[in-house]
Order: sequence, then C-alpha cells, then structure tokens
Amino acid sequence: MTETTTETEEQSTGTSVGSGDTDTRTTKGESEERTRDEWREYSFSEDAILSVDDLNVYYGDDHALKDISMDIPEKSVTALIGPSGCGKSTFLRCLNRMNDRIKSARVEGTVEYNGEDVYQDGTNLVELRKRIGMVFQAPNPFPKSIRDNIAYGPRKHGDINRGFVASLLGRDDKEEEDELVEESLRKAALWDEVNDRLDDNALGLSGGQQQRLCIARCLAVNPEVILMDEPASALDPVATSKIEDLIEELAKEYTVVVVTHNMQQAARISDQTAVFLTGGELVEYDETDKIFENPESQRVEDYVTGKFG
Amino acid sequence: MSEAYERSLVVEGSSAYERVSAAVVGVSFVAFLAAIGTFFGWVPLAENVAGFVAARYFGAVLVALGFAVAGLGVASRVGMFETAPDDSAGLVAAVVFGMLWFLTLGFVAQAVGIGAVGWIGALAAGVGLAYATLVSSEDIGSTFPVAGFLLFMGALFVAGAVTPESAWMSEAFEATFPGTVVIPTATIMGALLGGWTGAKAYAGYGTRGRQNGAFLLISLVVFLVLSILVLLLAFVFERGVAVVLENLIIGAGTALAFVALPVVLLSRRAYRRGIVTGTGTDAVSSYVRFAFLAVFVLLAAGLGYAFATATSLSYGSVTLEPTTAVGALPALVVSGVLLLVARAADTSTAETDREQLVARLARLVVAGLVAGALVELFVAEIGVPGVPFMPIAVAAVAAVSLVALVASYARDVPYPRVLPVTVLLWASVVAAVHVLATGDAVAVAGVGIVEGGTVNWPFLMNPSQGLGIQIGVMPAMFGTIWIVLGAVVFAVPLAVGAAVYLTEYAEDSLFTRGVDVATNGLWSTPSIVFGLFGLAFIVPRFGDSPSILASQLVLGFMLLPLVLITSREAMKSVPDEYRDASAALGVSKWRTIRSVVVPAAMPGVITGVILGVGRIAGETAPLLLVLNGPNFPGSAPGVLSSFDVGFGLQPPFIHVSNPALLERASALPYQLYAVITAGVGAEESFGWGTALVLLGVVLSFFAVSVASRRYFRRKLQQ
Ligand SMILES: Nc1ncnc2c1ncn2[C@@H]1O[C@H](COP(=O)(O)OP(=O)(O)OP(=O)(O)O)[C@@H](O)[C@H]1O
Ligand SMILES: [Mg+2]
Repeated sequence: MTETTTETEEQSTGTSVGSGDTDTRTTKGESEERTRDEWREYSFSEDAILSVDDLNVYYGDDHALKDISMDIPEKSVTALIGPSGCGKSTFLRCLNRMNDRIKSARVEGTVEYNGEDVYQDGTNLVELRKRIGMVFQAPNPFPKSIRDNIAYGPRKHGDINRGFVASLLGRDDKEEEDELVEESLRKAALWDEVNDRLDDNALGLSGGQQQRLCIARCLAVNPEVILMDEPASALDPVATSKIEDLIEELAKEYTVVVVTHNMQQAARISDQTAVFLTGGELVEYDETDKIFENPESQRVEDYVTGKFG
Repeated sequence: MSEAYERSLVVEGSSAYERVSAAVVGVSFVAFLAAIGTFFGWVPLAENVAGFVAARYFGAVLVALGFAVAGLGVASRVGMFETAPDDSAGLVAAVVFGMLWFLTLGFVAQAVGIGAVGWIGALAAGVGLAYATLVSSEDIGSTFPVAGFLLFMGALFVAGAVTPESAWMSEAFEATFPGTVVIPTATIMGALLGGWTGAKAYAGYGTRGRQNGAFLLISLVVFLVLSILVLLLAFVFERGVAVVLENLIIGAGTALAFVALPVVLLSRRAYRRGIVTGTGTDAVSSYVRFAFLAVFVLLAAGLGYAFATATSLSYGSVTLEPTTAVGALPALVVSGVLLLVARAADTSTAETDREQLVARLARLVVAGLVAGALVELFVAEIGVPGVPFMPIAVAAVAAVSLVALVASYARDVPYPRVLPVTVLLWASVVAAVHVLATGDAVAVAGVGIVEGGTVNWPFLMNPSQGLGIQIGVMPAMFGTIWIVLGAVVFAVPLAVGAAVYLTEYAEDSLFTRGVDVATNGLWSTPSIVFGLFGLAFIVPRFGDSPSILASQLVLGFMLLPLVLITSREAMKSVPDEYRDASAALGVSKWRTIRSVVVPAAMPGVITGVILGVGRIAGETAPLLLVLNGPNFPGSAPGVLSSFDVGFGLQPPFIHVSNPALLERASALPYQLYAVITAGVGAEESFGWGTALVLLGVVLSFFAVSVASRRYFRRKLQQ
C-alpha cells in the first residue's frame, strides 16, 4: 500500500492506488502523458470495486476536494478520517453521486464502479444508488412504520408488491416482505429490540435504534457497497459498539466505506484507512495498521496521535 | 432573610391583599359579563329589581370596585402589605389613563354644554393625569386613575344622573347616546380597567404584576373570541332549529341503524382499552367515553322498544315512527362499520396455496360486484327487462357466503373464517347501491332496503314553493353541495400538482417567485371579480348560460390559490432528509414525491382545503353572476342521475355528458340572500333555517376534512 496524495506518488507500487484516466472530460495536466493501460499495469487492483481517479469537487468557487485518487477493495472496510470540513462527506457523496443533489457542487474526475465510470453520461442514478447504498450522519427514518421503512426500497423498486391491487391480482408478497424485513433487521442487529412492534412508527425509536434502522433499510435494497457517514457520531458507547460490530459483520458480504472522527474506531474496524487533511487533500491511504503505527507522512502521524486536528 | 431581596422567596397562604385583589378581578369579570348580557336582554337594565332600577346596581358595583381599587393602592403605598411596585406605572398605563380621562371629561363637558372650552380643559386634564401617572409610584399610578373613573361613573348611575331612559342627543356628533348603551359601555370599560388593576395588584405590581395584568387582558380577549364564535353558532341555531326540524319523522329502524354505529365503535374501544382505565385525564376521558356509550345504548334500547312494540314516539315536531324498513343510507353506514370491524378482526391470514386461492376468488367476486354497482350508479341498470341482474348476483353471492360461513363452523375450512362475513357485507353494500341507483326496493319478507329510507325531513327534503309557501331547501342544499364538491375536485389536484412542480422540480427563480406573488394576489382578489370573470369568460364557453359547472369552475379558481399556498408551504416543510434518504435508496424522484413528500404534506394540504371550503361555500357574489338560477327552484339538480355515458367509434370513444351540470340552479347562500332581500317579515324564520343548514353543510365539510387530516397525521405519527 502506498500514499496517494499526488499523481506522481501514485506511481509507486501497491495494490490500491488510483487507477488511470479514462476520458478527456476528466483529464488533468500531467497524467495526460500516460495511456490508460500504462496506468493499469501499475495501479489496477483485481479486487477494487471502486476506483476514484483525479477527483476534484468544487462548491461554487470553493475547491473542496483536490485531485483525489484511490482504490477501494471489495468486501472490506475502508475508513475515511480527517479534521472537520476536510471533505470526507463530500468524497463519500461523490461515490454514489449524491452530490448531484447539491446545486452548487461540480465534480471533475472519474469514479469507476466495477470498471464503469459513474460520472459518464447515461448513468442510471436509480440503479447506481441501489447498488451503492448510503447511511447518513443523522438518522433519517421516514415517518412511517418500521416495516414500511425497511420495505420502502424494495416496494418502490417493484421487487415486492403490496396493496389492494396486488392482492386482487394474487401477487401480494406479504411473506417475502416479512422475510426481508426480518432478515434486514437481524443483519442490522435490531430485530430483537423491535420484532414486537414492527407496525409502530419509526420515529418512536431511540436515536441509536433509528440509525440501525437506517442501516437495515439500506441493506434491504441489497446493495454491493454501503457508504456510512459518521454512523455512530450521535450514539452512546453501547450503541456505538453495536454499530461497530455490525460494520465488521457487514464487511463479510458488503464493501463498507465509513467516515469517522474516532481514531480508535477507525483502527478497530477498518482494513484500510484514508486520511484527508484540511484543504481537501488525501494525504495518505494505506492499510490501517500502517497508518496508525508507521505512517509515511509526519502530518498524518501528528493527526492520528492527536497532536494536530 | 437577606436584606437584598424585597420579597420573601416563599409566601405561605394568601394575604388579605391578594384576596381583595382576586375579588376585584372576579367582580370585574362578572360585571363585564353582565354588561354584555344587557345587550342581548339576558340581564335586566331598565327593569325594577328589588325596588331599584337594575342600572343602579351596576353603578353600585362600579362604586364598590372603585373603593376597592383605591384601597389596594393606598394599602400598598403605606406599606401595609409586601408589594414590589416600580417607580412608575409606565407609559402604556399613562397613555391609556390619560385618554380615558380626556374622553370622559370631554363627553361630560359636551353633555353639560360647555363644548369646545370643555374639550380643551379635558385635554389639559388628560395630559396632566398621564403625567401624574407617569411620575407617581406604580401602586398609586395604576390604581387611582382607575378608581376615580369607577367612582365617578358609578356615582352617576347610582344617583340616577344617567338612567336607562336618559338619552343624550349630541348635536356636535349628530348622534344619540341612550342610557341603555352608555351604562353597559361604561361598565365594560370600568370592569376591564378594574380587572387589569386587580390582576396587577394581585401579583404585587412590578414585573410580575404587569405580566399578570397582561395575562388577564389576553385571556379576556381569547374568551371574547371564543364566545363570539359560540354565540354566533348558538344564535343561528336558536333561530333556525325550530324551522329546520319541523315535522321531522324518523323511522325507528333507521334511527336504530344510525345509533348502532356509535354503539359499535364505542363498545369496540371500551372492549379494547377497558371501560375505565388509567388515571388523571386518561380516566376522565374513559369516563366520558363510557358516558357516551351509556347514552347511545339507552337510545338504542328506546328505539328498539319503539320498533318492537310498534308505538311511535314524538317530541315537539319530531316524530319517531316504528317501521321495519331500513333506509338505504343507514344500511350503507352500518355495513361499512361492520366491515371495518371485520377487517380489524382479520388476523388470520391466508397461509396455504388453497387458502390463498379462495381468498383471491373472494376478492375477485367482491371487485366484480363493486364494479357492477358503480356501473349501475353512473351508467345504467344492468340486466334485461324484467330480470334485474344485480339483485340476483347479490343474492347468489350472499347465499354462497352464508353457506360457507355455516360450513366454516361445521368443519375445518380452506379459508379464513372472516372471509364470508366480508363478502356478505360487501354484498349488502352493493344491494344498497343498487336500490339507490334504480329506485327498486330489495326486500325479503318485509324487511329490506328501500330507496330514501324512512327519514322524512321536510325542511331538507322538499323544494321551496316560492315566497310565502316555503317548506324546504333541498334544491339549494344540493346546489351548494355539488358546487363545493365540484370546486374541490377541480381545484385540489391542480393545486397539489402545481405545488409539487414548484417545490420539487422548478428551481428557485424569478418565475417561481412570480408565481408566488400571483398566487397571493389571486387569493386576495375580491370574489365578485372572480364572478365577473366567470360570467365573461367561462359562461360563454359552457352552454352560454350560468350553470352549476360554471360555478364549480369559478369557485374552484377561488379555491386554487389557497390550496396551492398551503400545499407549497407544507411541502417545503417536509425535511430534505427524507428526500435524501429516498434518493440514496435508489428511488426515483417521482416515486419519492408520491410516497414520501405528498403524504407528509397531506395534513397541510387539507388545512388549505378546510379554510378554502369555508370561504367558497358561503360565497354569494360570484354565484349571483354565474349560477343565477331561480331563487326557489322546484327540484334539486339531478347531477348523479343525468350522467350520460355513451360509447362511440370516434375518439375519445367514451362520451360523457351531464346536462344537469349545465343548468342554472340555486345555492344556500344565494337563496338566503334572496329571502332576505325579498323583505317579507314572515320569511325571517325561513332565512334562519337556511342559514342553519348552510352552517351545517359547511361544518360537515369541515368535519370530513378534519377527520381526514387526523387520519393522515396519525399515519405519520401513530
Ligand atoms: N452543500 C455545500 N455547499 C457549499 N459548500 C459545502 C457544502 N457541503 C460542504 N461544503 C464545503 O465543503 C468542504 C468539505 O465539507 P464536508 O462536509 O465534506 O466536510 P467533512 O470532512 O465531512 O466535515 P465533518 O467532519 O465536519 O463532517 C467544507 O469546507 C464545506 O464548507
Ligand atoms: Mg461530514
């Protein structure tokens, strides 16, 4: 593994460094000289599910992310750490194009998901977000019952049919839905707490339960990648450790990218860690042990040891 | 106790000072009510009460209040009680008292005939008093000017200088001030001031005192608003109820069906939650529920008695006739309720394939029946001459479900037990609709469903026969109902659609801001302008005559902006987190709007509809132009029955026409206006009856909307 702050550094070997440029729309200065294949030789990792290359994000004139390149391996936990305002959430939102929803945001560069640029024209956002799910910093359940929350995605996608017309046509998928709800809630470690009140409003749950509900809701759509933005920031230690266990559990089946402010948390749960520092730069990206025990950059060492925030 | 604090932290019991202040507030309040009562003739003013003219008692109360208020000031000043007055009574009090005295003295001067000079003197006195109030300590400053006013006015009334008979004709104002107005007005003013001062004194003046005084005034205002509302309703009710209820005859069977509804609902609740549960307000509300249940059960027993023994009961002009026929409408209601019960009890879901098959079959049958009923209602009776299809189908379905029901108790069955009950209930609903649509009774052995039921309510069921021989308001009532319904059906989807577009799709721009301004402008446009627009623009395009349709459109236009405004506000206040959450789940924008944004905004939308319907239902001016039917039409608009659906080979293949919608008609406010302007004295009670029915119609729309708003709120919270 190696740090990937700038284009030149990316040439050093390693499995998860940024992949090459794809098309001219995203091309930046120096990298134009190399062909895509040359880049691949160096940097394409077989198990990378997401590879970000030369990503720049602007909010109006504000340059929020600068030349970010990194590969995110499949079925692992990738932690994003860094001081407040350094662009972690912005980066996360780029991965499933939730930034499109912010009017002032402008994105340059490529994000490849399974080898396809998600920023190319004709990307089906609905499909993309089905596959790359997201859990937000603050729990945001719908003002509906727990069951309706979980089943919301599959119902809207037409994977599950409910309602009067469906029942008239004999296509009511109540059992499937029940199974799905139970399975998702179990995965999110919430089933035991709520199985007797699935029809109660989700807003009546505690903050930690709501957050796990949001995770369950995301799992019900069966995504491949789950993006989590400080999922435990508003929770007490018990709920936090539940979420941490959950993330480790999820990494067996899913690719998890998680933003956190908590160094211990990042050290405990993640396989690799990316350190962003103020100004929207990715300073170092490597295996978690390496980042925390023997980082290359002095700034990163200062940051993870708490000398610099 | 520390010297640094003027008042002790804990005050035990209440001091004499507080008791006197509280008494001042209480007496002022009673005087206030009594003075208002004189305007309505509920409280005597000019009559003799125990040897004196009632007005003198008002004077005596004012004098007593005056002494009490002055006493409160003095007692506080000399330090008999622990109070915390400020150095000044404040600018507001000074201005109020200055104005009060300026006006009082000015009028007195005018009355004794010193005119202009008197007014100048009064002005000087007022300013002087305001100044004195400002500079004297709060306890004196806020009590003495009030006490002076109370004593002065009270003395005038007690001494008989101003009596109910006295009338002062002022040439300068070109007006007459009779004692019957002066005395209550002065009492109201005095009571307000006395109460205010008493409330201030009660809390020992200072900040707390002012807060207390302000609270008193505010609660009086709230009280006033509420009492105006109650008064208005009570007034119309009192005047109109006799006319409306005249010769009302209700079949005991029908009434029983109506009463059965709350009984079923309340018993279900009581069964679920226990008759009396909980403590505090919970217990109170369950007692209330229990009381309602008891009343309804008693009612039902009485009705059942009348029904069983074939005796008729009558009260005033309302008669209860024993009858075995159950009206179509109540039958519908009862079946609906039972249906809800059945659905609530439906915990057994179909498990195996066979059970599912049966359940699906049952649903298909019900859907077929309902479709048939709808066709009958809107298109035509189904069947060949002499052989009505629907009753036969209903009978067949009912028979099969009965057999299935009985069979289900005999042995294990391949379907949930509640299924045949559900099907039976649906069948009865369909039968009732069939009766409504065709007018043929469906009956077995004398008990059955007949059209119209056995409620005979002359005022609501008859057309008026013109001035002088008016019995009922049915055409106008239906006119209003159709017009309001049409306006709602026309405006609400448009408004909600526009709100969705503006909030969810359109970028915030000059355009959207322009639309906002235009909407607000449209909402404040006078209704007569809408009427003129309708007359010039809509009427020529729809049959060239004022009509129900034109009225629906015009009132719809009036409803549109309000519903649009409230829907937009409601949608804007739906948190963006919901939209983000939905988008992150890969749900398209349109589906998100449909299943998250609109449901969350629904209560707000309905609030708009409630307010809007209240406005348009009572609208008279535009109807004069675009409805403009006969004042007292002989028959109600047959909107339902004159739907004409034809099929053709030319696009759009289905041709729907409804001549009734294109006819002139009457509406309640329109008719009311006609009754009033006709100026025939004897028609007054008819007018009040019409007003009461109008209120009833508006309130029913209101009730339906409030209920549906509750439903949507519940769905968001439960
Ligand atoms: N919607 C927005 N509009 C404009 N600027 C934004 C927006 N969102 C974020 N920014 C800016 O982009 C920069 C990065 O923000 P971002 O939310 O990604 O930081 P973060 O690392 O997630 O911080 P935190 O740890 O506090 O959540 C900040 O300077 C912020 O001001
Ligand atoms: Mg953030």
